[in-house]
Amino acid sequence: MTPLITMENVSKFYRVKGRKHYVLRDISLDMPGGMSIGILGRNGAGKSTLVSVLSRAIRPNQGRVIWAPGIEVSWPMGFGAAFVGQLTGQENLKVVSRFYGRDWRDLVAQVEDFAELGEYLDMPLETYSSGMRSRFNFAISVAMDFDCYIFDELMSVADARFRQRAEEEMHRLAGRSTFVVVSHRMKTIQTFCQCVYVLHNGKLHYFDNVQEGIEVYERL
Amino acid sequence: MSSTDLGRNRDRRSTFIGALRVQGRVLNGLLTRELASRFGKRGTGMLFTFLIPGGQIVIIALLRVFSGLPGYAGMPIFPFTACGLLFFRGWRNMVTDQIDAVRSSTGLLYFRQVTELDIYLGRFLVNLTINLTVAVVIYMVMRIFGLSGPAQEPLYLLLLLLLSNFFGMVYGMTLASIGSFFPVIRSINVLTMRVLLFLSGVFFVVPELPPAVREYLLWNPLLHIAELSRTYYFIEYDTAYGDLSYVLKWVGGFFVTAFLLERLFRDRITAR
Repeated sequence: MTPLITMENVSKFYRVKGRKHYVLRDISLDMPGGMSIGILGRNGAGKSTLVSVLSRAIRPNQGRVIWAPGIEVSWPMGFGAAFVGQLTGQENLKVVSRFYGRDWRDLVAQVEDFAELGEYLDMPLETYSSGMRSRFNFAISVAMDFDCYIFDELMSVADARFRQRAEEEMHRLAGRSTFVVVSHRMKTIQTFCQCVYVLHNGKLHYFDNVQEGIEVYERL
Repeated sequence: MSSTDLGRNRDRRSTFIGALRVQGRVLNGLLTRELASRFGKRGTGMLFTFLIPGGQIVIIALLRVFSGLPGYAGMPIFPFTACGLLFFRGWRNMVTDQIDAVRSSTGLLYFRQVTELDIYLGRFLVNLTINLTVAVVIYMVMRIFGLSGPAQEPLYLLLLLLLSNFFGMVYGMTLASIGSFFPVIRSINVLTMRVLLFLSGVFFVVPELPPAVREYLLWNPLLHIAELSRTYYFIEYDTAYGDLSYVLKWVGGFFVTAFLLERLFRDRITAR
């Protein structure tokens, strides 16, 4: 089976007071294709850095990340950095629709319908509350047709009603796409992932048994 | 989902035409983003894009007139000033914009089809479009108010504008790479731009300079661009100093340097 993601000797460090602080240290692995992958780690373990490296927004200091050829991968949902705060929701949608060759009005209609942001779509993103921003990010991402969706702590600030709708939408997407899920909500990992990686001390530890991975993570 | 489903979107990118289509979409998206960021829905941003250079042309022209230096060799003063200022201003805006192009847009890299070079190219196209539009509008205003005769070589002027803007892009990209090691380069650039404003033919043509100074100032390729712009614009002026091949050598040198440094230090430029 073609690996979804191949990491070859990937290291990423940040300089803290002149010293290298490794977040990812010499990681080489093949993330399996055809299944959804959960990523677990304590706060500060480097999950967001890992997601940024996987999504190519941050380059590793060493090594490389290779995705299966031809795969359309989402931006990390939950990363507001992909959008421009000074632009309105609609303007951001217009930019994204151009990037992906989608009809702008069609995309706006889908996001309006799903995120229920009403006239806020015509206001700058920087005026949105964190919950609204989360709804916007999720709605725009799932309105696109990706082979693989990257979810990074997406629903942590959304209200219960929207979380439920989002989970229903994820169930629908799971029928045709795979996920890379970073979450502290074990239920989300258990529901959608078929394998788990635990990020600890700069290394990724693989578990093909999700429950086992969760138990290891909870003991960290 | 089965493993055979992996890459069901593959056809979209598998051909050269497909890749070009993706490139076109990326640039389209970047242009949309840049224009919306700069001008938004208010017309004031757009208005000032024309008013500021227009005002500067008037002020510099009046300064020359009150200093007893009307247009040289019969060149009308407003187009004389416009030639010098618009080429320099376009170059300067391009440089300033390119220095921070990637650093201020790293969020775009979350979209996997967007690369650092796309960001540079997107900003180049936006600035080029703005600079070209400003030049055409100011030219038309001068013509309507009878301040200028027709440009003699509009095609050459267009190509010179394109060349000077491209020069600005590659020079700015070079500074962006150097700036990833030495952030002070941004402050130095601000100072350099102020000095260059007075040395690049915005206020004068080369024959007006003392012979002893000419030799040194002609090292500056921007002065050659100003000389050439006036030669292409006016029937009254044919520069003995502006040298296109000299400008091309500078542009070629910075072109190679910019792309080499960008490739070598890309990681540092995008480092967060």
